[in-house]
Amino acid sequence: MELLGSCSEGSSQTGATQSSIINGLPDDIALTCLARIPRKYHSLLKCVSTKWRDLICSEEWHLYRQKHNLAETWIYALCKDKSEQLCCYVLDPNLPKKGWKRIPDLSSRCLKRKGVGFEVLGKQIYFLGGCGWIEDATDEVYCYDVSRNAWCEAKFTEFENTFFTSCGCVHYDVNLKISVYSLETATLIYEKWISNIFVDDINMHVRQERARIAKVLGVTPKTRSTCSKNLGFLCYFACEAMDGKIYAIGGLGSKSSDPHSWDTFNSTTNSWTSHMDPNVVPEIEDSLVLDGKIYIRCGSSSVSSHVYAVVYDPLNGTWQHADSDMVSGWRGPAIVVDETLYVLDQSSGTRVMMWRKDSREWEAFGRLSSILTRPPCRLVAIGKKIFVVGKGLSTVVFDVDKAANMDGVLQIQVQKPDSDGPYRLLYCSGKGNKWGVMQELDKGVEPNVGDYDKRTALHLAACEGCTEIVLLLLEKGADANFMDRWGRTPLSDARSLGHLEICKILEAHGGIDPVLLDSQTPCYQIHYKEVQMDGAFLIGEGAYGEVYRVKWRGTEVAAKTIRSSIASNEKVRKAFLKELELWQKLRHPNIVQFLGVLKDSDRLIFLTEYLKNGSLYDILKKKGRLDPTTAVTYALDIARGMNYLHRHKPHAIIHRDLTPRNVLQDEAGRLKVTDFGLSKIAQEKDVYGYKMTGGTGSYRYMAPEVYRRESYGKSVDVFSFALIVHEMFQGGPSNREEPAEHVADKRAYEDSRPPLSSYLYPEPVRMLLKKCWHKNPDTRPKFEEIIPELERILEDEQRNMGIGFCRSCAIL
Amino acid sequence: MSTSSSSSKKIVLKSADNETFEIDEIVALESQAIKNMIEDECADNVIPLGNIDSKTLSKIIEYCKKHAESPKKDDNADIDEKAVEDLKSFDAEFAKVDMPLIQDILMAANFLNIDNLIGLMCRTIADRIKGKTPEEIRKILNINKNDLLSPEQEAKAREENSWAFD
Repeated sequence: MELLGSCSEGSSQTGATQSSIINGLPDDIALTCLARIPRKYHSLLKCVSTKWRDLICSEEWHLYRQKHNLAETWIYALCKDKSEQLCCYVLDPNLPKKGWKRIPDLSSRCLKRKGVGFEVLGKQIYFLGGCGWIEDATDEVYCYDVSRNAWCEAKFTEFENTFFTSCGCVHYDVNLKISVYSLETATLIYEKWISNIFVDDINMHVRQERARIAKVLGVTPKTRSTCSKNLGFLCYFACEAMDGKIYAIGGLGSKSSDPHSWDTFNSTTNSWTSHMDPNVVPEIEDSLVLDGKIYIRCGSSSVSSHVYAVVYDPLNGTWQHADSDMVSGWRGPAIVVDETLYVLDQSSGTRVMMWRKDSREWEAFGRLSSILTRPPCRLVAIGKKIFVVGKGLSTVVFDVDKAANMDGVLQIQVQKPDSDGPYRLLYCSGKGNKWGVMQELDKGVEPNVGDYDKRTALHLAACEGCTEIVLLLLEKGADANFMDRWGRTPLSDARSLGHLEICKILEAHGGIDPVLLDSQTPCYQIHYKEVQMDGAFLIGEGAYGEVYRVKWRGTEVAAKTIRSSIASNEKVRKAFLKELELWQKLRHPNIVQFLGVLKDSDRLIFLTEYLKNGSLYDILKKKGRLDPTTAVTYALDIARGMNYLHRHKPHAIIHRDLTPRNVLQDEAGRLKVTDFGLSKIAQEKDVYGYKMTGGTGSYRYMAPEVYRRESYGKSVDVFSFALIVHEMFQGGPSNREEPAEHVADKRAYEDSRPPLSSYLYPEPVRMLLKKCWHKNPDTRPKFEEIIPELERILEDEQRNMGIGFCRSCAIL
Repeated sequence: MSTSSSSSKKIVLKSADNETFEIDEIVALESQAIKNMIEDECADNVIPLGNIDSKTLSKIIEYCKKHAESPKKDDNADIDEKAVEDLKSFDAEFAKVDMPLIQDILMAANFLNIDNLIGLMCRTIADRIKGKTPEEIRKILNINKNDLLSPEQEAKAREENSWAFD
């Protein structure tokens, strides 16, 4: 009966609890249930109720998961972005496909700092010290609470060797290096210090929390004076803990004015000691603890490959030059796993080296693909898995125990930063970005995924002549005979564009070309009744006629009319229809898609896709100057579209009238070239007295040889292209007030060109533009040369803007 | 009355709705709470369990029987794989009940201190709500309506976590 009594008491208690975490369950049992839910779902759990939110943000939750081996470790990386600002990313190693996620809203005050210490402890990430251009080394600490997903206010009072923040405190402790407490606990510690009461008296609700505090407080000095030296005011310092002592080594900053100093905190004497040793240098690149000794590696000079490292042996208390055999292999980021030192050596290829203590030799552990590990890299380990985090947060993983060695190449898992879903595969394939394609395929993206026109990566790679990508895709199981919306296979594309090598490869893989069997397709004609011309809306007027927005089979399309003065000429009309026949076979992401020509129309009208965002002219008018990344991205779009036209087989298609008005933007922000070759029609008319008016502004983009009526070739488009790129950086045409014809005249006869201020134009862009608008048409680069150049420029821009390389890595 | 530790000794449990269950002592010993009572010799022939109804109790006895019959892990190192698999599939089947019953079993298992069963029920609850939307979780677990985040708080929470969702 005793049992019954105690039990009913328990149940009535839970019944009486008004808002429990889960109705009908005591909170401790609810915690037991919820703590088993994987970490990736925690953010969702927080939205369930206030109780749940509070639970998941609590220290108790964190400790429970740790105690019961439920904690999942994520990797946090500190990087620099475009404007050299710090940013922080997180990776769940169990979800390699998700990739790195950026943690938003890093505290603005530490954004610009350099040499920031980056530590993860408890459920918080700490940003310690650091310095800026105008500020000296600081003792400030910022922290990010992982479970609350929030940054803590950057206000602290410094006490002893403890920093207090609004959401807890960080304590430099002799064993743990740094410990983290909730504010509540921190306050208690503080109070106990003041009143000098023993640790055991502290009434804690969580037992293990008490044990943790006891551990720390057991070595805490009783009075402030004995601990006046703190570890603040540092940047670029190395911090290691060993044998109950904490070592702060080197570093730059006002408080550590002596560059050869190193400080230790001794737990038995509770005191800081400052030491000097000429072997300690301030600029420390890396540090590690191995076999009870601290090793620091100093900034190696780029001139010599000599690695300078010193080792501290606590037995004799001195810094010595480290064992040269060991140091000779410490040529990159290092990590100690199971007392074994591993180093990523990227001096020639990418190798993982392992230091054999017994034979005192470096042994090659395995090679890694250099494409996948882009230097500079950082290493971080979870258990026996080593994560190599490189430029742009490219990440690969291998297990030191299970690393299968295939001819010396380590089999690795690849983990990537955020990407754009399966479409990135298409994008990279068309761009010839082999690394991107490999990444996407490794990520598990289906190689036969197609865009809305059912065009696959293989189509795009075949179109662009990217042989390597074609091989890679076929190897990964891409279907050689996948048909796009128009019934074209990759072989059809490769053949029509004259990529003979790719044709052979595709044929070897069983590729067929149904288009070849049926190559005499008539010009696509649309019955005029299918188009509602009544509701036509005038959207533009060109040199050749008006452009209307109409509906064709329910879809908005652009209807381009050709002036009757041009169209009435039978010869021109025939030439035009022949041109249209050519157009209908053209398809490329960066050219406006031709849809068909109106049948039985007394006027000459053809339909193209309608692009809502208007032309580049409209964009520049609205936005003015574009930022460099956007400008280069746009330039690439135009160059790719133009390269497609120029490399058209059997005859190149020359645009002849490339202007911002003839470059349109689709809803996804991609630019597409339109009205190519139209001027050819007009030119024929020209013979009959039709004169280009220049009213559309074409003169401003006209190559000198065209203005001078000399013979010309494809490079006239390169000239126009250069002027369009110039405008994107400038925000509009230069010498706007001057009549366009004068501008063209001066360009043709006085070799005048728009100004290129170094302020607005990155150096590589200036160089490129100068080449592109060169007076000698033969020296202008081709679009196929311009594209890789722009890609390099874009990559540089993005590296500056996007994720940069990883400064520090930590796990939590 | 008799405290002889014969293996065939029977224990009688009485549910809240006054139903009695006669079980082998070995089955009852799966419950740490009952084991303690027997050891303390305060278990008379009938143990009243005033907060466990007969439906829940019969489920718990089903579980304990199965687990008492199965060889224990620490009995010998090489228990055969089949027995482990068998127990696993039993547990999986056992957990296929509705949420209120899971909660009742969990409460009773907690009270009777049956570690494995607590673990099984907690895992079951966790499995049922992981990956679900907050709305679905509220429905599954009948979360108190007074305890919801205000629309602003929820929007803020979602906003804060937006980078982590997807």
